[in-house]
Amino acid sequence: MSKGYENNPINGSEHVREQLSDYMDGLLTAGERAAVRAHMDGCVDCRADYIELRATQQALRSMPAVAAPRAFTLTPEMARQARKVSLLERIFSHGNAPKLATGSVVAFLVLFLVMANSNFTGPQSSAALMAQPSAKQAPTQGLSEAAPVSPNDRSSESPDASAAQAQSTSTSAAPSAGGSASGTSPEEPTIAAGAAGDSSANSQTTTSGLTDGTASPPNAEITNSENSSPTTTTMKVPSSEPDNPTTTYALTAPTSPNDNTSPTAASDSSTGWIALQVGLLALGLALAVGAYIAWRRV
Amino acid sequence: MPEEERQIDAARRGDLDAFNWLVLRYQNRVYNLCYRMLSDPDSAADATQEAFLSAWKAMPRFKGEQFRTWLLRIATNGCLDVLRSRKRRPTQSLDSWGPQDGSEDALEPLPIADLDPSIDPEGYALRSETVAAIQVGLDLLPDDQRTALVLVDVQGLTYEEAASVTGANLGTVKSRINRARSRMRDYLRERGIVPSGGELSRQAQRSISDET
Repeated sequence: MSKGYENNPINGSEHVREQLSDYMDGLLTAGERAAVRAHMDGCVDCRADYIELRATQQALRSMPAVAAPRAFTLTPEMARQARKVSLLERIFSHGNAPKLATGSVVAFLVLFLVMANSNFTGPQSSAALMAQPSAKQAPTQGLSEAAPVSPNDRSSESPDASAAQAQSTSTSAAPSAGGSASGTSPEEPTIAAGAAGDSSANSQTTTSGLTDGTASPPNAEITNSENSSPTTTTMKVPSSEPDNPTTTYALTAPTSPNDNTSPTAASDSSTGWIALQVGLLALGLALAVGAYIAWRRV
Repeated sequence: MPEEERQIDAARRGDLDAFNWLVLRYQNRVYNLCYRMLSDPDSAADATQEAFLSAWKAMPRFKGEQFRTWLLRIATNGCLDVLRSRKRRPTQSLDSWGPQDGSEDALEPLPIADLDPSIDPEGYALRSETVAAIQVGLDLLPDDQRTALVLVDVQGLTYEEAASVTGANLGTVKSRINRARSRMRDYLRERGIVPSGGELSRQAQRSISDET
């Protein structure tokens, strides 16, 4: 087909092969149209191209319509099946992205606090840890009711509270817990924790069903109330726990710190400490990735 | 069309009857698209059903565009998925798609008289062998070009609609159409379905030079 194309300069104008498709569909400007037509008047090859292209388009346009072989209406059963969404799809739905992101931020925040504390004062000052996030979460209720409630709780619950410094900080933690709900001392840590995890509470509820992560908060409660003796460390670790169930990934996070810290003395706590940090890191990253995935889904 | 909008609105709120009203309205169009894309009645029927199921599922999120465009986009994406999966499993594809029985005949050159460019396209019907041959020609195109050509030249969509359906921009659609038509032209000319334009063109040239 290209024979003679090169030595056929008509009117000194270039061949218009590339423009023929657009010309056919009327997509060219008036000027371009005129130029193409002028060229085709003199150029046998481009005219031949155009004739063939037109015929091709006509052939395609003349393709007969085929009738649908049956009705494609949906039965109620099909409609129900189609709408069924898996648990994962629901968790990582677009609407959940903010909750997942919030959970991630909270996890990193707690991780940051844990790391800051372990650097300065070591595991012993754990009470401070718990104090900070909870104070952060519920500053309004905490302030007013803080004074009357906290001293009582302190004394009854942890007589051998480690350091004076820890105690002072933990008092600020206690009020928020007492203000939020019950006054009974053993439950206090979990309540405070609940307040801390509040912001991510929504994602918690949706996700918790997935794994046995739900099992850990009750565990934490029990261990707390039973051995009231161990230092504040014990309580603190579970306290940060309720954040963990927020994800499905960090299976290790909820269980390992629990096992390591609560039953035994503070000697094992450093490993639990590291496990907690790793768990929080994994949790935060997993939630961030999850939030991203959810965000991308439309 | 207010009636259609009413049905769309109801379907969005979960009214299955309203949705089925839309299904009946659009099923021929969707089936035709799938049939030209997949060139096999069974696959086309499956893809059509699948498209309507997906549409039902996504219905609550439908808003602010032409329903037809939205539906054809779902169907097109489904067809492209099928085409991709066929390529991953080439053994199966030999049985289930591509040149059907009798396609060897379809590859034989057909009488040139079968299609005369001077005749109005609506005014005549293609012979069934010609149709089969054109379908094979469509199958030989790359997926993106075939999609564009089916949407624009077979289904009669505007370039803008085709761009919206495929998620490509206008320039991309144009160039896909351009290339697809060229390939199709070559293919159909080799088989004599489209007459070689050379002779016609030269005749025209002679008549022009005779006049001058």
